[in-house]
Amino acid sequence: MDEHITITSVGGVEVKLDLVALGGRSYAFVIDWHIRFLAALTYYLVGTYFFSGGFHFVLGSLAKAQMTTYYFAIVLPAMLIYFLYHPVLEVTMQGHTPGKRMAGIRIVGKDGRSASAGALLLRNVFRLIDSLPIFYVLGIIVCLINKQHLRIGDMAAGTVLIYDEKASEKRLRLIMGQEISHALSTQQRELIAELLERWNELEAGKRRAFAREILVKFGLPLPGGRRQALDNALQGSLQQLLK
Amino acid sequence: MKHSSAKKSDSAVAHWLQGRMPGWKRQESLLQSQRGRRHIDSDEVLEFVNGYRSLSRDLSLARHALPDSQITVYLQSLLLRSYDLIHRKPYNLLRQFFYMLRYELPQAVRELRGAIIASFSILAISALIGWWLVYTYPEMVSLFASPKMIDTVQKGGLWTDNILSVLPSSILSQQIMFNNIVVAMSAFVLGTLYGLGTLYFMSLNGAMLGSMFAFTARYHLAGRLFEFIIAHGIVELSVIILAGAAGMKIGEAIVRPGQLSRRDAFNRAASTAGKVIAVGALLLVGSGLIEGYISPNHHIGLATRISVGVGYAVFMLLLLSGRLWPRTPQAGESGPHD
Repeated sequence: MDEHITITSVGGVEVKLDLVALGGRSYAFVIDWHIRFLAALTYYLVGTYFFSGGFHFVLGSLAKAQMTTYYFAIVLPAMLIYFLYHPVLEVTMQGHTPGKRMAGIRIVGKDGRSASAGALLLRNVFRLIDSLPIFYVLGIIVCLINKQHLRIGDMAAGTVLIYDEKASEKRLRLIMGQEISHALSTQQRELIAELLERWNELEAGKRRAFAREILVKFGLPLPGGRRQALDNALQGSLQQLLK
Repeated sequence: MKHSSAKKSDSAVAHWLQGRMPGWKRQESLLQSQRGRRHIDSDEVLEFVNGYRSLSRDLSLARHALPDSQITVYLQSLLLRSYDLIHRKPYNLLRQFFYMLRYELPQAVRELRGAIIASFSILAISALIGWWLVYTYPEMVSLFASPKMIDTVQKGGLWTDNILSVLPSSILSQQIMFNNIVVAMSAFVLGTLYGLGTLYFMSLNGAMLGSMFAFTARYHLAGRLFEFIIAHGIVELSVIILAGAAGMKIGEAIVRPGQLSRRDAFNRAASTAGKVIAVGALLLVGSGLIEGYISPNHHIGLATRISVGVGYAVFMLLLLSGRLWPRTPQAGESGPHD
Protein backbone atom coordinates (compact mmCIF):
# COMPACT_ATOMS: atom_id res chain seq x y z
CA MET A 1 0.00 0.00 0.00
CA ASP A 2 1.30 3.51 -0.86
CA GLU A 3 0.78 4.97 2.57
CA HIS A 4 3.21 7.81 2.11
CA ILE A 5 4.54 10.17 -0.50
CA THR A 6 8.22 11.03 -0.62
CA ILE A 7 9.70 14.41 -1.35
CA THR A 8 13.39 14.87 -2.00
CA SER A 9 14.87 18.01 -0.55
CA VAL A 10 18.16 19.62 -1.49
CA GLY A 11 21.14 17.31 -0.97
CA GLY A 12 19.00 14.26 -1.72
CA VAL A 13 17.52 14.00 1.78
CA GLU A 14 14.18 12.22 1.45
CA VAL A 15 11.24 13.08 3.65
CA LYS A 16 8.29 10.73 3.82
CA LEU A 17 4.85 12.23 4.32
CA ASP A 18 2.37 9.76 5.78
CA LEU A 19 -0.99 9.73 4.02
CA VAL A 20 -4.19 9.97 6.02
CA ALA A 21 -6.59 7.03 5.76
CA LEU A 22 -10.36 7.01 6.24
CA GLY A 23 -10.19 7.22 10.06
CA GLY A 24 -8.18 10.46 10.13
CA ARG A 25 -10.32 12.01 7.40
CA SER A 26 -13.55 11.10 9.17
CA TYR A 27 -12.27 12.41 12.50
CA ALA A 28 -11.46 15.81 10.99
CA PHE A 29 -14.72 15.89 9.01
CA VAL A 30 -16.85 15.18 12.07
CA ILE A 31 -15.15 18.01 14.01
CA ASP A 32 -15.57 20.39 11.06
CA TRP A 33 -19.18 19.37 10.55
CA HIS A 34 -20.00 20.17 14.18
CA ILE A 35 -18.21 23.52 13.99
CA ARG A 36 -19.96 24.63 10.80
CA PHE A 37 -23.35 23.30 11.86
CA LEU A 38 -23.19 24.94 15.29
CA ALA A 39 -21.78 28.20 13.87
CA ALA A 40 -24.55 28.41 11.23
CA LEU A 41 -27.27 27.44 13.72
CA THR A 42 -26.02 29.89 16.36
CA TYR A 43 -25.88 32.72 13.82
CA TYR A 44 -29.37 31.89 12.61
CA LEU A 45 -30.94 31.61 16.07
CA VAL A 46 -29.23 34.68 17.55
CA GLY A 47 -29.98 36.68 14.38
CA THR A 48 -33.62 35.63 14.39
CA TYR A 49 -33.92 36.43 18.09
CA PHE A 50 -32.56 39.95 17.65
CA PHE A 51 -34.51 40.57 14.44
CA SER A 52 -37.88 39.53 15.79
CA GLY A 53 -37.45 39.70 19.56
CA GLY A 54 -38.12 35.97 19.86
CA PHE A 55 -38.11 32.69 17.95
CA HIS A 56 -41.69 32.90 16.64
CA PHE A 57 -40.62 34.25 13.26
CA VAL A 58 -40.97 32.54 9.85
CA LEU A 59 -39.87 33.91 6.50
CA GLY A 60 -43.23 33.55 4.75
CA SER A 61 -45.17 35.63 7.29
CA LEU A 62 -43.13 38.81 6.71
CA ALA A 63 -43.87 41.83 4.57
CA LYS A 64 -41.66 42.05 1.44
CA ALA A 65 -39.25 44.70 2.74
CA GLN A 66 -38.79 42.92 6.05
CA MET A 67 -38.48 39.59 4.28
CA THR A 68 -35.57 40.88 2.16
CA THR A 69 -33.72 42.29 5.16
CA TYR A 70 -34.28 39.13 7.20
CA TYR A 71 -33.24 36.88 4.32
CA PHE A 72 -30.03 38.71 3.46
CA ALA A 73 -29.01 39.53 7.03
CA ILE A 74 -29.89 36.26 8.73
CA VAL A 75 -30.85 33.33 6.47
CA LEU A 76 -28.29 33.75 3.68
CA PRO A 77 -25.21 34.29 5.91
CA ALA A 78 -26.18 31.19 7.96
CA MET A 79 -26.39 29.17 4.72
CA LEU A 80 -23.08 30.56 3.51
CA ILE A 81 -21.37 29.63 6.81
CA TYR A 82 -22.59 26.05 6.38
CA PHE A 83 -21.95 25.59 2.66
CA LEU A 84 -18.79 27.66 2.15
CA TYR A 85 -17.01 26.57 5.35
CA HIS A 86 -14.73 24.04 3.65
CA PRO A 87 -13.82 25.90 0.43
CA VAL A 88 -13.23 29.25 2.12
CA LEU A 89 -11.25 27.93 5.10
CA GLU A 90 -9.19 25.46 3.08
CA VAL A 91 -8.10 28.27 0.74
CA THR A 92 -7.46 30.90 3.42
CA MET A 93 -5.83 28.47 5.89
CA GLN A 94 -3.76 26.89 3.09
CA GLY A 95 -4.97 23.32 3.28
CA HIS A 96 -6.17 23.35 6.87
CA THR A 97 -9.54 23.72 8.53
CA PRO A 98 -10.03 23.86 12.31
CA GLY A 99 -11.00 20.15 12.25
CA LYS A 100 -7.98 19.17 10.17
CA ARG A 101 -5.72 21.18 12.46
CA MET A 102 -7.12 19.37 15.51
CA ALA A 103 -6.67 16.02 13.75
CA GLY A 104 -3.11 17.03 12.79
CA ILE A 105 -3.70 16.65 9.07
CA ARG A 106 -3.35 18.90 6.04
CA ILE A 107 -4.20 18.97 2.32
CA VAL A 108 -1.20 19.22 -0.01
CA GLY A 109 -0.56 18.66 -3.70
CA LYS A 110 0.68 15.27 -4.97
CA ASP A 111 4.23 16.69 -4.90
CA GLY A 112 3.97 17.51 -1.18
CA ARG A 113 3.78 21.28 -1.72
CA SER A 114 0.89 23.51 -0.66
CA ALA A 115 -2.15 22.86 -2.86
CA SER A 116 -3.22 25.71 -5.16
CA ALA A 117 -6.44 27.65 -4.51
CA GLY A 118 -7.91 26.20 -7.73
CA ALA A 119 -7.20 22.63 -6.59
CA LEU A 120 -8.72 23.29 -3.16
CA LEU A 121 -11.89 24.71 -4.73
CA LEU A 122 -12.11 21.86 -7.24
CA ARG A 123 -11.91 19.14 -4.54
CA ASN A 124 -14.83 20.85 -2.83
CA VAL A 125 -16.98 20.94 -5.99
CA PHE A 126 -16.59 17.16 -6.18
CA ARG A 127 -18.20 16.80 -2.74
CA LEU A 128 -21.42 16.81 -4.80
CA ILE A 129 -20.54 13.34 -6.10
CA ASP A 130 -18.53 12.08 -3.11
CA SER A 131 -21.56 12.65 -0.88
CA LEU A 132 -23.87 10.50 -3.05
CA PRO A 133 -26.24 8.84 -2.40
CA ILE A 134 -26.18 9.93 1.28
CA PHE A 135 -23.58 10.51 4.02
CA TYR A 136 -20.55 10.37 1.69
CA VAL A 137 -21.11 6.67 0.94
CA LEU A 138 -19.49 6.89 -2.51
CA GLY A 139 -16.54 8.92 -1.19
CA ILE A 140 -16.01 6.40 1.63
CA ILE A 141 -16.08 3.42 -0.75
CA VAL A 142 -13.63 5.09 -3.15
CA CYS A 143 -11.40 6.05 -0.22
CA LEU A 144 -11.35 2.44 1.01
CA ILE A 145 -10.50 0.86 -2.32
CA ASN A 146 -7.63 3.04 -3.54
CA LYS A 147 -4.08 2.78 -2.31
CA GLN A 148 -3.66 6.43 -1.33
CA HIS A 149 -7.03 6.66 0.49
CA LEU A 150 -8.28 9.45 -1.77
CA ARG A 151 -11.89 10.48 -2.34
CA ILE A 152 -13.02 11.41 -5.87
CA GLY A 153 -12.51 15.13 -5.14
CA ASP A 154 -8.85 14.56 -4.27
CA MET A 155 -8.28 12.55 -7.44
CA ALA A 156 -9.87 15.33 -9.51
CA ALA A 157 -7.85 18.08 -7.85
CA GLY A 158 -4.56 16.17 -7.54
CA THR A 159 -4.45 16.59 -3.76
CA VAL A 160 -3.65 14.24 -0.87
CA LEU A 161 -4.16 14.44 2.88
CA ILE A 162 -1.01 14.07 4.96
CA TYR A 163 -0.22 13.97 8.66
CA ASP A 164 1.18 17.36 9.58
CA GLU A 165 3.67 15.99 12.08
CA LYS A 166 5.10 18.59 14.41
CA ALA A 167 7.30 18.16 17.44
CA SER A 168 5.56 19.18 20.64
CA GLU A 169 6.69 22.77 21.08
CA LYS A 170 6.58 22.60 24.85
CA ARG A 171 8.72 19.47 25.00
CA LEU A 172 11.10 20.85 22.42
CA ARG A 173 11.55 24.01 24.47
CA LEU A 174 12.50 21.84 27.43
CA ILE A 175 14.99 19.88 25.34
CA MET A 176 16.40 22.77 23.35
CA GLY A 177 15.63 25.86 25.34
CA GLN A 178 18.40 25.47 27.93
CA GLU A 179 22.00 24.52 27.95
CA ILE A 180 22.54 20.85 27.22
CA SER A 181 23.63 19.07 30.34
CA HIS A 182 26.45 16.62 29.77
CA ALA A 183 25.13 14.52 32.64
CA LEU A 184 22.00 13.55 30.68
CA SER A 185 21.77 11.95 27.28
CA THR A 186 19.34 13.42 24.75
CA GLN A 187 17.04 10.39 25.18
CA GLN A 188 17.02 10.87 28.95
CA ARG A 189 16.22 14.57 28.58
CA GLU A 190 13.38 13.70 26.22
CA LEU A 191 12.00 11.15 28.68
CA ILE A 192 12.01 13.66 31.54
CA ALA A 193 10.58 16.38 29.31
CA GLU A 194 7.75 14.07 28.22
CA LEU A 195 6.97 13.13 31.81
CA LEU A 196 6.82 16.82 32.80
CA GLU A 197 4.68 17.69 29.80
CA ARG A 198 2.16 14.96 30.60
CA TRP A 199 2.40 15.48 34.38
CA ASN A 200 -1.18 16.63 34.87
CA GLU A 201 -2.65 13.99 32.53
CA LEU A 202 -1.06 11.09 34.46
CA GLU A 203 -2.58 9.51 37.51
CA ALA A 204 -0.87 10.93 40.67
CA GLY A 205 0.48 7.60 41.97
CA LYS A 206 2.00 6.66 38.62
CA ARG A 207 3.69 9.99 37.98
CA ARG A 208 5.22 10.00 41.46
CA ALA A 209 6.54 6.46 40.89
CA PHE A 210 8.09 7.46 37.53
CA ALA A 211 9.63 10.57 39.05
CA ARG A 212 11.10 8.61 42.01
CA GLU A 213 12.57 6.05 39.62
CA ILE A 214 14.29 8.74 37.58
CA LEU A 215 15.67 10.56 40.64
CA VAL A 216 16.97 7.28 42.12
CA LYS A 217 18.65 6.42 38.79
CA PHE A 218 20.59 9.70 38.92
CA GLY A 219 21.38 9.28 42.61
CA LEU A 220 19.47 12.40 43.61
CA PRO A 221 17.77 12.79 47.00
CA LEU A 222 14.08 11.93 47.12
CA PRO A 223 11.95 14.78 48.49
CA GLY A 224 9.62 14.17 51.43
CA GLY A 225 6.10 15.46 52.19
CA ARG A 226 2.55 14.29 51.72
CA ARG A 227 0.34 14.22 48.62
CA GLN A 228 0.30 17.65 46.91
CA ALA A 229 3.50 18.82 48.58
CA LEU A 230 5.30 15.61 47.51
CA ASP A 231 3.86 15.92 44.02
CA ASN A 232 5.12 19.50 43.68
CA ALA A 233 8.51 18.61 45.14
CA LEU A 234 8.99 15.70 42.70
CA GLN A 235 7.98 17.89 39.76
CA GLY A 236 10.39 20.59 40.96
CA SER A 237 13.25 18.08 41.28
CA LEU A 238 12.70 16.89 37.70
CA GLN A 239 12.63 20.46 36.41
CA GLN A 240 15.84 21.11 38.33
CA LEU A 241 17.39 18.03 36.75
CA LEU A 242 16.73 19.39 33.26
CA LYS A 243 18.36 22.67 34.17
CA MET B 1 34.27 0.11 27.63
CA LYS B 2 30.87 0.06 25.92
CA HIS B 3 29.42 2.43 28.52
CA SER B 4 32.23 4.92 28.07
CA SER B 5 31.89 4.97 24.26
CA ALA B 6 28.11 5.53 24.57
CA LYS B 7 28.76 8.41 26.92
CA LYS B 8 31.29 9.86 24.48
CA SER B 9 28.79 9.62 21.64
CA ASP B 10 26.06 11.29 23.77
CA SER B 11 28.44 14.04 24.62
CA ALA B 12 29.27 14.51 20.93
CA VAL B 13 25.56 14.68 20.05
CA ALA B 14 24.96 17.19 22.83
CA HIS B 15 27.87 19.27 21.59
CA TRP B 16 26.54 19.14 18.03
CA LEU B 17 23.04 20.12 19.17
CA GLN B 18 24.41 23.08 21.07
CA GLY B 19 26.23 24.25 17.97
CA ARG B 20 23.30 23.88 15.59
CA MET B 21 20.43 25.16 17.70
CA PRO B 22 20.91 28.89 17.01
CA GLY B 23 20.80 28.17 13.26
CA TRP B 24 17.49 26.30 13.55
CA LYS B 25 15.99 29.02 15.68
CA ARG B 26 17.07 31.60 13.11
CA GLN B 27 15.53 29.51 10.31
CA GLU B 28 12.32 29.29 12.32
CA SER B 29 12.18 33.05 12.82
CA LEU B 30 12.91 33.69 9.12
CA LEU B 31 10.14 31.25 8.24
CA GLN B 32 7.69 33.07 10.49
CA SER B 33 8.68 36.52 9.28
CA GLN B 34 8.53 35.67 5.56
CA ARG B 35 5.07 34.13 5.53
CA GLY B 36 2.58 36.44 3.86
CA ARG B 37 5.09 39.23 3.24
CA ARG B 38 4.96 40.95 -0.13
CA HIS B 39 8.47 42.36 -0.15
CA ILE B 40 11.29 40.29 1.23
CA ASP B 41 14.83 41.46 1.69
CA SER B 42 17.13 39.58 -0.74
CA ASP B 43 19.78 39.01 1.97
CA GLU B 44 17.14 37.34 4.14
CA VAL B 45 16.06 35.17 1.21
CA LEU B 46 19.65 34.07 0.65
CA GLU B 47 20.09 33.38 4.35
CA PHE B 48 16.86 31.38 4.35
CA VAL B 49 17.91 29.25 1.36
CA ASN B 50 21.34 28.61 2.92
CA GLY B 51 19.62 27.72 6.20
CA TYR B 52 17.44 25.26 4.27
CA ARG B 53 20.56 23.54 2.88
CA SER B 54 22.13 23.30 6.35
CA LEU B 55 18.87 21.97 7.74
CA SER B 56 18.88 19.20 5.17
CA ARG B 57 22.36 18.11 6.33
CA ASP B 58 21.36 18.39 10.00
CA LEU B 59 18.30 16.22 9.44
CA SER B 60 20.45 13.59 7.77
CA LEU B 61 22.81 13.56 10.79
CA ALA B 62 19.97 13.62 13.32
CA ARG B 63 18.38 10.58 11.69
CA HIS B 64 21.56 8.61 12.40
CA ALA B 65 22.31 9.98 15.86
CA LEU B 66 18.76 10.41 17.25
CA PRO B 67 16.46 8.31 15.04
CA ASP B 68 13.22 8.51 17.06
CA SER B 69 13.92 11.77 18.80
CA GLN B 70 11.64 14.80 18.96
CA ILE B 71 14.59 16.75 17.59
CA THR B 72 14.49 14.67 14.39
CA VAL B 73 10.73 15.22 14.14
CA TYR B 74 11.28 18.95 14.70
CA LEU B 75 14.00 19.15 12.02
CA GLN B 76 11.85 17.24 9.53
CA SER B 77 8.94 19.58 10.17
CA LEU B 78 11.16 22.66 9.83
CA LEU B 79 12.68 21.29 6.62
CA LEU B 80 9.24 20.60 5.13
CA ARG B 81 7.99 24.08 5.99
CA SER B 82 11.12 25.62 4.46
CA TYR B 83 10.77 23.40 1.36
CA ASP B 84 7.15 24.48 0.98
CA LEU B 85 7.95 28.18 1.30
CA ILE B 86 10.77 27.95 -1.25
CA HIS B 87 8.87 25.89 -3.82
CA ARG B 88 5.28 27.03 -3.53
CA LYS B 89 3.63 29.45 -5.94
CA PRO B 90 2.84 32.92 -4.57
CA TYR B 91 -0.59 32.97 -2.93
CA ASN B 92 -1.97 36.04 -4.67
CA LEU B 93 -5.51 34.89 -5.33
CA LEU B 94 -6.68 37.93 -7.29
CA ARG B 95 -3.66 37.85 -9.59
CA GLN B 96 -4.05 34.11 -10.15
CA PHE B 97 -7.74 34.61 -10.92
CA PHE B 98 -7.12 37.30 -13.55
CA TYR B 99 -4.30 35.27 -15.08
CA MET B 100 -6.69 32.33 -15.34
CA LEU B 101 -9.38 34.51 -16.97
CA ARG B 102 -6.99 35.98 -19.47
CA TYR B 103 -4.79 33.07 -20.51
CA GLU B 104 -5.93 29.73 -19.12
CA LEU B 105 -9.68 30.05 -19.70
CA PRO B 106 -9.55 30.60 -23.51
CA GLN B 107 -7.10 27.67 -23.74
CA ALA B 108 -9.43 25.47 -21.68
CA VAL B 109 -12.42 26.45 -23.86
CA ARG B 110 -10.40 25.56 -26.99
CA GLU B 111 -9.58 22.15 -25.48
CA LEU B 112 -13.28 21.60 -24.79
CA ARG B 113 -14.41 22.58 -28.29
CA GLY B 114 -15.35 19.04 -29.39
CA ALA B 115 -17.12 18.33 -26.11
CA ILE B 116 -19.05 21.63 -26.39
CA ILE B 117 -20.35 20.63 -29.82
CA ALA B 118 -21.32 17.20 -28.47
CA SER B 119 -23.00 18.70 -25.40
CA PHE B 120 -24.95 21.20 -27.53
CA SER B 121 -26.01 18.44 -29.92
CA ILE B 122 -27.28 16.22 -27.10
CA LEU B 123 -29.25 19.10 -25.58
CA ALA B 124 -30.71 20.12 -28.96
CA ILE B 125 -31.65 16.57 -29.99
CA SER B 126 -33.23 15.89 -26.58
CA ALA B 127 -35.14 19.17 -26.82
CA LEU B 128 -36.49 18.18 -30.24
CA ILE B 129 -37.50 14.75 -28.94
CA GLY B 130 -39.15 16.33 -25.89
CA TRP B 131 -40.95 18.82 -28.14
CA TRP B 132 -42.19 16.12 -30.53
CA LEU B 133 -43.26 13.85 -27.68
CA VAL B 134 -45.36 16.44 -25.84
CA TYR B 135 -46.72 18.09 -28.98
CA THR B 136 -47.92 14.71 -30.23
CA TYR B 137 -48.98 13.26 -26.86
CA PRO B 138 -49.79 16.25 -24.57
CA GLU B 139 -50.50 14.02 -21.57
CA MET B 140 -46.77 13.13 -21.56
CA VAL B 141 -46.04 16.61 -20.15
CA SER B 142 -46.71 15.20 -16.68
CA LEU B 143 -43.29 13.51 -16.99
CA PHE B 144 -41.59 16.91 -17.08
CA ALA B 145 -43.83 19.40 -15.26
CA SER B 146 -45.60 19.53 -11.93
CA PRO B 147 -49.44 19.32 -11.81
CA LYS B 148 -49.53 22.97 -10.65
CA MET B 149 -47.53 24.16 -13.67
CA ILE B 150 -49.74 22.13 -16.03
CA ASP B 151 -52.88 23.54 -14.44
CA THR B 152 -51.62 27.14 -14.75
CA VAL B 153 -50.83 26.71 -18.46
CA GLN B 154 -54.20 25.05 -19.11
CA LYS B 155 -55.85 28.13 -17.57
CA GLY B 156 -53.99 30.37 -20.02
CA GLY B 157 -51.13 31.61 -17.82
CA LEU B 158 -47.46 30.90 -17.24
CA TRP B 159 -46.10 29.62 -13.92
CA THR B 160 -43.73 32.61 -13.99
CA ASP B 161 -46.52 35.22 -14.22
CA ASN B 162 -46.97 35.93 -10.53
CA ILE B 163 -43.56 34.88 -9.33
CA LEU B 164 -42.77 38.35 -7.92
CA SER B 165 -45.88 38.33 -5.76
CA VAL B 166 -44.44 35.37 -3.87
CA LEU B 167 -40.83 36.50 -3.46
CA PRO B 168 -39.06 39.84 -3.96
CA SER B 169 -36.60 40.04 -6.90
CA SER B 170 -33.54 40.05 -4.65
CA ILE B 171 -34.42 36.77 -2.92
CA LEU B 172 -35.64 35.25 -6.17
CA SER B 173 -32.35 36.12 -7.91
CA GLN B 174 -30.28 34.63 -5.14
CA GLN B 175 -32.27 31.42 -5.05
CA ILE B 176 -32.18 31.06 -8.84
CA MET B 177 -28.41 31.63 -9.02
CA PHE B 178 -27.77 29.14 -6.19
CA ASN B 179 -29.97 26.54 -7.89
CA ASN B 180 -28.41 27.09 -11.32
CA ILE B 181 -24.86 26.89 -9.96
CA VAL B 182 -25.65 23.57 -8.25
CA VAL B 183 -27.25 22.30 -11.49
CA ALA B 184 -24.18 23.28 -13.57
CA MET B 185 -21.77 21.76 -11.06
CA SER B 186 -23.82 18.57 -10.90
CA ALA B 187 -23.71 18.24 -14.70
CA PHE B 188 -19.92 18.61 -14.43
CA VAL B 189 -19.16 16.21 -11.57
CA LEU B 190 -21.57 13.54 -12.83
CA GLY B 191 -19.10 13.10 -15.70
CA THR B 192 -17.07 11.07 -13.20
CA LEU B 193 -19.50 8.19 -13.81
CA TYR B 194 -17.78 7.50 -17.14
CA GLY B 195 -19.64 10.46 -18.65
CA LEU B 196 -22.99 8.67 -18.32
CA GLY B 197 -24.22 10.90 -15.51
CA THR B 198 -23.65 14.00 -17.62
CA LEU B 199 -25.25 12.38 -20.65
CA TYR B 200 -28.39 11.60 -18.65
CA PHE B 201 -28.44 15.08 -17.13
CA MET B 202 -28.13 16.89 -20.46
CA SER B 203 -30.74 14.67 -22.14
CA LEU B 204 -33.20 15.24 -19.31
CA ASN B 205 -32.70 19.02 -19.35
CA GLY B 206 -33.03 19.16 -23.13
CA ALA B 207 -36.21 17.07 -23.06
CA MET B 208 -37.68 19.31 -20.33
CA LEU B 209 -36.94 22.45 -22.33
CA GLY B 210 -38.47 21.06 -25.54
CA SER B 211 -41.49 19.63 -23.78
CA MET B 212 -42.31 22.88 -22.00
CA PHE B 213 -42.14 24.85 -25.25
CA ALA B 214 -44.35 22.24 -26.96
CA PHE B 215 -46.88 22.30 -24.13
CA THR B 216 -47.08 26.09 -23.96
CA ALA B 217 -47.32 26.21 -27.78
CA ARG B 218 -50.49 24.12 -27.65
CA TYR B 219 -52.03 26.91 -25.52
CA HIS B 220 -50.50 29.74 -27.63
CA LEU B 221 -48.16 30.70 -24.79
CA ALA B 222 -44.80 29.76 -26.36
CA GLY B 223 -44.22 33.39 -27.36
CA ARG B 224 -44.67 34.54 -23.77
CA LEU B 225 -42.38 31.79 -22.53
CA PHE B 226 -39.76 32.91 -25.06
CA GLU B 227 -40.23 36.51 -23.86
CA PHE B 228 -39.62 35.40 -20.26
CA ILE B 229 -36.55 33.32 -21.11
CA ILE B 230 -34.72 35.44 -23.68
CA ALA B 231 -33.05 37.92 -21.28
CA HIS B 232 -31.38 35.34 -19.04
CA GLY B 233 -31.77 32.11 -21.01
CA ILE B 234 -29.03 32.46 -23.63
CA VAL B 235 -26.22 32.60 -21.07
CA GLU B 236 -27.94 30.21 -18.67
CA LEU B 237 -28.35 27.54 -21.34
CA SER B 238 -24.85 28.19 -22.65
CA VAL B 239 -23.39 27.60 -19.19
CA ILE B 240 -25.39 24.36 -18.87
CA ILE B 241 -23.95 23.30 -22.26
CA LEU B 242 -20.44 24.22 -21.05
CA ALA B 243 -20.99 22.25 -17.83
CA GLY B 244 -22.16 19.28 -19.90
CA ALA B 245 -19.03 19.60 -22.05
CA ALA B 246 -16.86 19.73 -18.93
CA GLY B 247 -18.55 16.59 -17.59
CA MET B 248 -18.05 14.79 -20.91
CA LYS B 249 -14.40 15.82 -20.92
CA ILE B 250 -13.76 14.13 -17.57
CA GLY B 251 -15.86 11.15 -18.62
CA GLU B 252 -13.78 10.79 -21.77
CA ALA B 253 -10.55 11.08 -19.75
CA ILE B 254 -11.65 8.14 -17.60
CA VAL B 255 -12.84 6.02 -20.54
CA ARG B 256 -9.90 6.89 -22.85
CA PRO B 257 -6.94 8.06 -20.73
CA GLY B 258 -4.45 7.73 -23.61
CA GLN B 259 -0.80 7.73 -22.51
CA LEU B 260 -1.64 8.81 -18.97
CA SER B 261 -2.90 6.72 -16.08
CA ARG B 262 -6.67 6.97 -15.55
CA ARG B 263 -6.17 9.01 -12.39
CA ASP B 264 -3.75 11.45 -14.03
CA ALA B 265 -5.99 11.85 -17.08
CA PHE B 266 -8.97 12.49 -14.77
CA ASN B 267 -6.96 15.03 -12.75
CA ARG B 268 -5.80 16.83 -15.91
CA ALA B 269 -9.28 16.93 -17.47
CA ALA B 270 -10.92 18.07 -14.20
CA SER B 271 -8.35 20.87 -13.77
CA THR B 272 -8.92 22.12 -17.32
CA ALA B 273 -12.70 21.81 -17.20
CA GLY B 274 -12.80 23.23 -13.65
CA LYS B 275 -11.67 26.63 -14.95
CA VAL B 276 -14.62 26.74 -17.35
CA ILE B 277 -17.00 25.72 -14.56
CA ALA B 278 -15.65 28.40 -12.22
CA VAL B 279 -16.29 31.12 -14.82
CA GLY B 280 -19.64 29.52 -15.69
CA ALA B 281 -20.69 29.81 -12.04
CA LEU B 282 -19.84 33.53 -12.11
CA LEU B 283 -21.83 34.00 -15.31
CA LEU B 284 -24.79 32.31 -13.62
CA VAL B 285 -24.69 35.00 -10.92
CA GLY B 286 -25.40 37.55 -13.68
CA SER B 287 -28.16 35.39 -15.22
CA GLY B 288 -29.71 34.95 -11.77
CA LEU B 289 -29.89 38.72 -11.33
CA ILE B 290 -31.45 39.14 -14.77
CA GLU B 291 -33.93 36.33 -14.08
CA GLY B 292 -34.90 37.88 -10.76
CA TYR B 293 -35.13 41.53 -11.82
CA ILE B 294 -35.76 41.69 -15.60
CA SER B 295 -37.40 38.46 -16.81
CA PRO B 296 -40.48 38.51 -14.50
CA ASN B 297 -41.00 42.29 -14.82
CA HIS B 298 -43.98 42.86 -17.11
CA HIS B 299 -43.07 46.53 -17.67
CA ILE B 300 -39.92 45.62 -19.60
CA GLY B 301 -40.50 45.24 -23.35
CA LEU B 302 -39.28 42.49 -25.67
CA ALA B 303 -36.67 44.71 -27.38
CA THR B 304 -35.00 45.49 -24.05
CA ARG B 305 -35.11 41.82 -23.06
CA ILE B 306 -33.50 40.76 -26.34
CA SER B 307 -30.85 43.49 -25.99
CA VAL B 308 -29.98 42.35 -22.45
CA GLY B 309 -29.91 38.68 -23.45
CA VAL B 310 -27.81 39.20 -26.57
CA GLY B 311 -25.54 41.77 -24.87
CA TYR B 312 -24.81 39.40 -21.97
CA ALA B 313 -24.21 36.55 -24.42
CA VAL B 314 -21.71 38.67 -26.38
CA PHE B 315 -19.93 39.50 -23.12
CA MET B 316 -19.81 35.77 -22.32
CA LEU B 317 -18.35 34.93 -25.74
CA LEU B 318 -15.70 37.65 -25.43
CA LEU B 319 -14.79 36.41 -21.95
CA LEU B 320 -14.57 32.76 -22.95
CA SER B 321 -12.54 33.47 -26.06
CA GLY B 322 -10.12 35.79 -24.23
CA ARG B 323 -11.01 38.68 -26.55
CA LEU B 324 -12.24 40.78 -23.65
CA TRP B 325 -8.63 41.61 -22.87
CA PRO B 326 -5.93 43.34 -24.95
CA ARG B 327 -4.18 40.77 -27.17
CA THR B 328 -0.59 41.48 -26.23
CA PRO B 329 0.32 40.75 -22.59
CA GLN B 330 1.59 43.69 -20.58
CA ALA B 331 5.13 43.58 -19.28
CA GLY B 332 5.35 41.56 -16.10
CA GLU B 333 2.14 39.66 -16.81
CA SER B 334 3.65 36.60 -18.39
CA GLY B 335 2.40 34.48 -15.50
CA PRO B 336 0.79 34.64 -12.09
CA HIS B 337 3.93 33.49 -10.42
CA ASP B 338 6.46 36.11 -11.44
